[in-house]
Amino acid sequence: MAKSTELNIEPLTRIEGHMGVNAKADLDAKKYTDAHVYATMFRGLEDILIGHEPADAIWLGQRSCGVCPTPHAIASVEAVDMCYGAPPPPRHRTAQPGHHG
Amino acid sequence: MQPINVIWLQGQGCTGDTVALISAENPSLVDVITGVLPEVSGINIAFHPTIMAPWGEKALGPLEAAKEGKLDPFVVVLEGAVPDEKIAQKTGGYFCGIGDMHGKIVTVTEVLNDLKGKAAAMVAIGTCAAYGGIAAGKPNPTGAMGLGAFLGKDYKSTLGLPVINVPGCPTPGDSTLKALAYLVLVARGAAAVPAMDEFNRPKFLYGELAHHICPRAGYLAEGKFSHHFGEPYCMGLLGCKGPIAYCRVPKYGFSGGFGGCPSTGSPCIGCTEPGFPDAPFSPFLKKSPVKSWVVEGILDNIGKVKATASRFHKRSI
Repeated sequence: MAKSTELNIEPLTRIEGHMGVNAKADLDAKKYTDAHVYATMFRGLEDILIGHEPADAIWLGQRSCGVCPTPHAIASVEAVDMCYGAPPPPRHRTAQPGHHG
Repeated sequence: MQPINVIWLQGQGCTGDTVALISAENPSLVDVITGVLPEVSGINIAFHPTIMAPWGEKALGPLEAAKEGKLDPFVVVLEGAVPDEKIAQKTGGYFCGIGDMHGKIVTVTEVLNDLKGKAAAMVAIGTCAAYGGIAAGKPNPTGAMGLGAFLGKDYKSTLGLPVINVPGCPTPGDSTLKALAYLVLVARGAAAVPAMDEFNRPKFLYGELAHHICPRAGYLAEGKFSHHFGEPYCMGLLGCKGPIAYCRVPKYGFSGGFGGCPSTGSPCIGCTEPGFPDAPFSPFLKKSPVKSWVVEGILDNIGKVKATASRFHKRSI
């Protein structure tokens, strides 16, 4: 009979918001056999976006995470650009790599 | 001096207020925690999911201690909205858990219910905590609400204070710390309860319309408008909601006098107001409501007449 243990870490602190980890380890083989990471908060941002103008996604999308709003904002900008068939101006392309800091 | 414990809970939020808090400069978080400012020294952050060292069940210890009265006096700070867990329970789930205690999920609703009778003050940081904000946007899938709505209109903390709202998306760290530091002074009897407006926002932080203190206001007076992003003039035609939003950011900057929406070229989206992010604040690129333009137009014309008349006044000094 292999000795195994189960780890349950919830809340997982020092990250953005609400997260937990559940892992199973095999003590004889010194290996993790199973691991799940799960978020413990739900807002339904996709549902909230329905009915808004496409450009609103630039502001609402970045509210999904306060630690990393920039990638969400840039992804929304690109999606809106594609939506309207409007390529970004050259100045934006030059500045974009700097947006992530 | 008697230490004051801070219990910072995270509801349906994005931690943006915490990130903004870390960037505060006037006063800075380090100054407040290490006691460089003697008036507000003795602040102990007992629970904060993003910056605390312990994790797992141990991390929830301070919440149990507060429930048993071992941490008195303590201030509860909420960031993020409070969901209506009854909706989630219909399908056997939950919307916002903050930890696992004895194999059972503890929801933010339960913790708030446990602590509301013992807290010296309840502070809602950010628009989600104050009025529901993003999470309560139409159609409000999770039944999210602000802390004030959750606790009821007549709620009073042990200091006799109602829920204090410090909204913003995110709230500038300077505003957060100024509000909390002011509360510490109130708790120690060194200052009176701050004057508050109809939405329980301290007036010293939310007394002015963003429009009135906007660095671009001079261009409006001359009728110069930006027609494209990147131009330096008034952004009224680009959808600025400054005329209907109370916010100090245009004048004081986001952190340490720098940044802020109009300074960096973004129109105001009205993030400090109840009702955000729905109409009249969205669509964000739509001009603010007609009423605000009419009021402004009348005042503007009165102002022009007064300004012209003032040229004929004799100087008094």
